[in-house]
Amino acid sequence: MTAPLWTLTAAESRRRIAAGEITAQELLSAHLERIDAVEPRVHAFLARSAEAARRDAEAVDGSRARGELAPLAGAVLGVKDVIAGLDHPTTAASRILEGYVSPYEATSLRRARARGAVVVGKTNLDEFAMGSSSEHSAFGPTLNPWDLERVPGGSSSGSAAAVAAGMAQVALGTDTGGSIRQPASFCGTFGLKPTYGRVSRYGVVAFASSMDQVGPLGRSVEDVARLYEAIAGGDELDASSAAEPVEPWTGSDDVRGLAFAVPDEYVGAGVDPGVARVVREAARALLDAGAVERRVALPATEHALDAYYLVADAEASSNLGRYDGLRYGPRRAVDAPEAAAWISAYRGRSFGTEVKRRIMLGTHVLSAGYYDAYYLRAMRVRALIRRELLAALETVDFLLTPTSPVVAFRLGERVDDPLAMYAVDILSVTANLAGLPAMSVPAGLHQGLPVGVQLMGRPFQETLLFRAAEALSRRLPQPAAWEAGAVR
Amino acid sequence: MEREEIDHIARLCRLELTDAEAERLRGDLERILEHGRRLGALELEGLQPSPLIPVMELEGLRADVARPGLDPGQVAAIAPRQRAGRIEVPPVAGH
Repeated sequence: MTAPLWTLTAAESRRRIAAGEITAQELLSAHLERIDAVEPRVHAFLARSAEAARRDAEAVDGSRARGELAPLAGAVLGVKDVIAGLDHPTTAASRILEGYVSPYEATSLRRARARGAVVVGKTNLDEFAMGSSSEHSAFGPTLNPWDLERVPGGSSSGSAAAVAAGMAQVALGTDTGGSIRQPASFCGTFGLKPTYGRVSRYGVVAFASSMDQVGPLGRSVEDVARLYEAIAGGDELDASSAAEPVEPWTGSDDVRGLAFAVPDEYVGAGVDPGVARVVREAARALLDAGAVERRVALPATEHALDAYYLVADAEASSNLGRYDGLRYGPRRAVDAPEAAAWISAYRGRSFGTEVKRRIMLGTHVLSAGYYDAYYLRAMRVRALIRRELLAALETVDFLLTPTSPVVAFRLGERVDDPLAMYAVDILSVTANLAGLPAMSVPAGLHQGLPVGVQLMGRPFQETLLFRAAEALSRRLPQPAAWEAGAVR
Repeated sequence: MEREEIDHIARLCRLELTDAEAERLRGDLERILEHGRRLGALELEGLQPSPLIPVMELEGLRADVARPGLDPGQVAAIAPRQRAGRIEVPPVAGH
């Protein structure tokens, strides 16, 4: 029996479209059937449009008939619902944007579609990308395709779950403190947070603007690299995007002579021994492939999480000020005599618990009398962390760490304790604070659940991370959720 | 953290809270800020916040040339309340 089309990576299906063996429309149909079968159990999507997807797949087949084949031709794409598109609402999984349809398209999405990607739908997330489990989505959680009683990670929860379950080949996510890498780790997919500024943020719902970054998820290094290449590069609509040229992926897995380190600060207390074991196995695989291991010290790491939550929430409180119930969002009957009270009541009724917590904390640390003690101090600690990481990356080419200290946890296990939820980001926030590229690579299983390892590198050296990721993926077991997980 | 302080912050960020929410946030914020205060013990001499990307490497500002923007009617249509292509807002100056 031949494998169903929804099990193909985007690179494999593109080769088969090129060879005339399948069409983009057949590829899409296989995915739509897979979604019908699996989505009721996983809940990865907030909006779907088969009609828009069929139109795009038909266009890909039309190009193929004319002898043209774009780099992502036919690739079935899920899009995190903070990235604005014209064919679906953009809700950020929040009641305050329920039903909102953007009049413009995000640059990252426009570029992916221009290179042949076919969007099947918008994927679920923690409200405004604030969370690590999808339990803060206003529209209900996504479940982990490996174990439906567990969370898929977050906040790019639906993107990771859709890719892992075979409902999409690739997906776009966003990552402010680990929101691409951590769900990629929990769901057994690859996920890249590019260097800050590498991908345009135009058309992306803002959370913490100095750390937000759009990036790809997929089931192979090649798919992640191709989607990354499609979306990366300067954009005149985002003045904080970097003009730095994007190097094409070569397919190389050559890590001979490359130096890496597993910093003690990333595998110490709080890291599940089963996760630490997988990291050691990944290190062994890199050594076998000819890389060399060195030691680095990163003592400021222990302060990263404390600094991260002050900086991220300060920026969030400012960014979310725009949701006043006047310019966007659903109509609500609010009884208040004047604008300030009206806006307060509207916001109070529309934001979820976690978003309120973050707006309150961020407002407090930016307010008179607290700014220097909290926000400014956190920004200086951020500078310390960046300096330390850049110095370490002068002696090694990349760092190897766990992506998350734990495997996917059970629904309800952490949702009522914000500090327990924040703790799962402890190993991923440093890359955001320092603006570095970092990638989660599936490296093995612990208690039947996927464990991702994180590769972190120098600014704008994503292709070096791809080489190391390719070396790992060829040497470590890469089971699929439909073989070993809960969605056969 | 006193309840008055929670109410003050909520006023600053225009967020109406129920009593139960305010009470819960009082505890949560206190616990989170306790972590934030640990940064106070660090030696940070000479460290200042700095941009992540050198300005020279940025895409930069585009030419200051007018281009067609969004249609005003389309923008008004996104708003929850609109009238004749304009966004309707509650009274700003009271009665």
